[in-house]
Amino acid sequence: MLNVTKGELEMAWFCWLICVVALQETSQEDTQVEPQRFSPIIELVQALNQDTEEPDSSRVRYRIRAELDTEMKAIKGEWVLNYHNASPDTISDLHFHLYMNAFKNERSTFALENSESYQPLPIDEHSFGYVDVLDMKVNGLDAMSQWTFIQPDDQNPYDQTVGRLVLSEPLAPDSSVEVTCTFVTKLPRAIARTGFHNDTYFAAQWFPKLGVWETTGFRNRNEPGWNCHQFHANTEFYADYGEYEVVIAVPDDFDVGCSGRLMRVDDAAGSKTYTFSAEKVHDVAWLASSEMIRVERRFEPDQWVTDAELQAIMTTHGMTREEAALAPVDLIFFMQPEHEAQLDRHFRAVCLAMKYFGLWYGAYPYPTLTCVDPPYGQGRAIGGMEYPTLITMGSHWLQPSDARSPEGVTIHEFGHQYWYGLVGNNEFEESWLDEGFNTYSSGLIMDLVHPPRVTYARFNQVPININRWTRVEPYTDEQRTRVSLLRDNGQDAVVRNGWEYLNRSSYGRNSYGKPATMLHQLSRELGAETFARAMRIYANKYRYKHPTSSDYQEILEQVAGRDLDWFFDQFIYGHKTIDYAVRSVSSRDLSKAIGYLETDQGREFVDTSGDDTSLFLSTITIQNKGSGSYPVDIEIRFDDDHKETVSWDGSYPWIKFKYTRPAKVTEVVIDPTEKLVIDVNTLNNSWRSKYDNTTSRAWTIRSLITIQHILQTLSGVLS
Amino acid sequence: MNFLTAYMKGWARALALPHIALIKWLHNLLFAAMLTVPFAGLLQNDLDHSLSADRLLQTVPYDIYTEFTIHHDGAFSSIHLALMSGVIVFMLLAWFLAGGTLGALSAERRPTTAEFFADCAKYFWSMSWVTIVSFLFGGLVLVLFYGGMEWTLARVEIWSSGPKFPFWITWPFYAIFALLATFVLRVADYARLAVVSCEPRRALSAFVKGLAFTWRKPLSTLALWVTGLGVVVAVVGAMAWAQSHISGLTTWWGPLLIGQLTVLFRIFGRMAWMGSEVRFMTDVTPRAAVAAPVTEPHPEPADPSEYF
Repeated sequence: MLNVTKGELEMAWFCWLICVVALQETSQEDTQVEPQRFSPIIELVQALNQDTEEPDSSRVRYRIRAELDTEMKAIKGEWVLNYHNASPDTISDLHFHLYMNAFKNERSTFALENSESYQPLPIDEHSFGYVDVLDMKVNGLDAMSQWTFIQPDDQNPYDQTVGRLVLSEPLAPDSSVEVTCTFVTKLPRAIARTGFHNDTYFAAQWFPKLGVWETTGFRNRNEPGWNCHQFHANTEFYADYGEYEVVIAVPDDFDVGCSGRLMRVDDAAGSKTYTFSAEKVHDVAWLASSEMIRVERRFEPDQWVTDAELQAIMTTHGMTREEAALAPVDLIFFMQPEHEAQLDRHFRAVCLAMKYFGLWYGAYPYPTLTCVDPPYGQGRAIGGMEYPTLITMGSHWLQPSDARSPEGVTIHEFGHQYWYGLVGNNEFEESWLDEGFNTYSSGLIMDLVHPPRVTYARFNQVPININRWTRVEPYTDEQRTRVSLLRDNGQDAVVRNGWEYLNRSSYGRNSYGKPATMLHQLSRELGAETFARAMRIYANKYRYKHPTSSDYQEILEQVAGRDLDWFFDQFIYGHKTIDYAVRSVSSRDLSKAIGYLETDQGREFVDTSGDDTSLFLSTITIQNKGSGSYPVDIEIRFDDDHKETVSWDGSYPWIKFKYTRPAKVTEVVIDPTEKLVIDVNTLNNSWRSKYDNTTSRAWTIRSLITIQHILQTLSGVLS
Repeated sequence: MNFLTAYMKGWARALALPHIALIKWLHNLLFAAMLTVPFAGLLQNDLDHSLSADRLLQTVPYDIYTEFTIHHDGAFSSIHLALMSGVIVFMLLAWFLAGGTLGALSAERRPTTAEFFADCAKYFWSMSWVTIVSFLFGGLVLVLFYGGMEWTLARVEIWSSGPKFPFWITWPFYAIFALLATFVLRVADYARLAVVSCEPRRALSAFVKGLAFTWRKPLSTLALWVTGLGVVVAVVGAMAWAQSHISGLTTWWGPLLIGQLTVLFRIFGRMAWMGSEVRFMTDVTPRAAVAAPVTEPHPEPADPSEYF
């Protein structure tokens, strides 16, 4: 029996992908030539790549000035927004996100959903935050009288996370409008990806930000309109791509990190002003701190990517060296002093992520990446979050080298530079397109560059290796993500509005692990190479755009040349499950017959019970205990070493297979190649005729003795 | 009497009471078996006809672990409830057996089984109250220390430089924690022993006596604890090592046999330890103040609340 896990198979495939060309084409000359373009798939890939439209990455242009008031824990700001109506529609109003108002009081939709589903907001004046729009002008004319709050999702009158500005003159197609806004943002104590902690200020979702105008047909819309949802407990963000120029004034003992490139720093009496510029991004977040350590390093592709690896990618995707090449990136780390020693681990993780994401989905296009270690104790509030060209990481003191963090978090958050940053899906409505894709992609890297992860519990900050005490083996990332699929077990669909899942746990399962497992399944279904090509094409075609699930499906179908409605309808848009099981197996001895049989000589009374010859009627019943169906192979093994492999589409609750052979069935294995990772219970996927209780007895005895020792310890306290 | 002599005498006393050890072992085995049966049923159902069983004889693959635990989540809830109920009943019985055990260890002669159970009943209330007082005291001390340790380590994390900070910095905290736990548990031991040694009858008096004795002889108490625990850990560890390394013992009966031997050894070891504490306490404390013959039990008050 091939004793490898599915994760190992996937890892082996990618290792092969990267290494095989290195083994075969080792000469320098060979690596310089164009890859052979030999297959129709490659041609299709090139056609799809060429089909990529120029992105409309300058629909919005913000020029923002912000001043940090450390006494008030507030940002006084103003921006000038230039918006270009690239749609064929006439736009009569503008909708803005006012995310910070989610933290204004306990009646916001965010707070109400929070107290319903997980933690309530702490009651403390610094726990609350808001954004006040003080002034609005359209093309220089006062427009505050046209400014109102709206609640498009739940009509909660207390929620002020979306504002509407009615335009006195509707915006015609292919025309622009200039809006100016003066605002004050009061930062809350660190919560939900933003806020302050001591002298560290993390400004995210901090300014009034325009929603996305969607035309009819865009993202499957029936009519044109703004996509500008309220801020919910389970949702993230969605905005247009554009250019940002951000000027941030802070006290002179503060350092600032921000999305984009630092253009200059101006000193004034008692303050410093930082100017940043970012292009082709859909958000800007920044950090100001007097407590953190700033370290600058650089990702040099030559130090991380071998020529053979580059060549393998060129061959797989039919690209030129220039198309496949990665670019250097300046890395700016903001570290807590107590975590400074973990800088090397973060740096390595970021570089590995840049390497593999770059090789698989195209080079990281921005010149900088800012990496923020969250303040002490705030990892849950503002750690592990992504913004364009800026990520927050997560770490812990005394983190063993074989623990999942910090590498896992850092790689995952960098991955969002692709799935969310470059491919800007709507996180409100289809969170799996960023979280699920990123869980899948960053998990591949983790399984590729790290050994299986050890589970640690913490006793008074000290990590304790759970695997050592329980005999449970360390996990691969693919195994870890599959847990979400098992726990969900058909409770929710992958594609839903973020605030419409059963609860927060279900949102998490259906946004992260479960869709990642679905992608692993698609990879097995289509073949790893085809799937890898499709992923790259999708990443390339929708760079700086807002794709949907159906856009992704379309790419997969084009690359694979197959219809995938059956898969998406059941497992992405639907909530079907797969659980195949061997229900029963019997082998009846036909040679031992007694009674009247019709033979050539007529009716005869026969009694063959003493014959030596054997003939068995074997009946195998396979059950589909899940609600969906998926084609599956079933291997039936007989005691004369004969094997039968049959296929079943799983469309009916059960199926019987009958064989009349001179041997009994000894083993039945559903999905012998372990292709079906979405089967929620593989323990019932096999059957053997030989009753063997060695394992169950061994674990029963281990359990018995463990319980005996626990009881003896308890009673030993008494006597 | 030094701690080593006391410990040897404790062993001699424990070995002279095999029927009590047998009762305690049966008590342990019976309850453990009852608690294991539902889990064993799940294992048999899932594995005995499954090829997956071959993958987890020695270790548990993560995917099988997650499937097993998630799919039996509902069953585990009822098992968990049964487990908790079983443990509570077990502890009540252990509580009941404590008086008889300590009485037998303190007595000059070997009690009969009937006398043993008579002592169990006789000391039940006194033992209950003194145990409750001891646990409250111990809990208070340990919670205060644990909270303090947690707070201190959190401060250490803030001001240290991550992994560069030596890992062993936490060890002194745990050493102090272990010493403190030892101290409060020994106080409880000696307080219970004070009850079966006849005087005093009231829980608070017994507790104060136990506290005073532990305070007076901290090093010897510690030495006895290290010896008692060390011997048990060494022998049980050696048995477990032998079981996992001797190929002939890897079948079902090997672990079962070794497992029972280790449990039995722990029972004897604990009896020997308590027996040595009896000798130690009797030897150190003026006999007039402590030791009255166990064969002359104190009269029980009509109202159990008088104990407190």
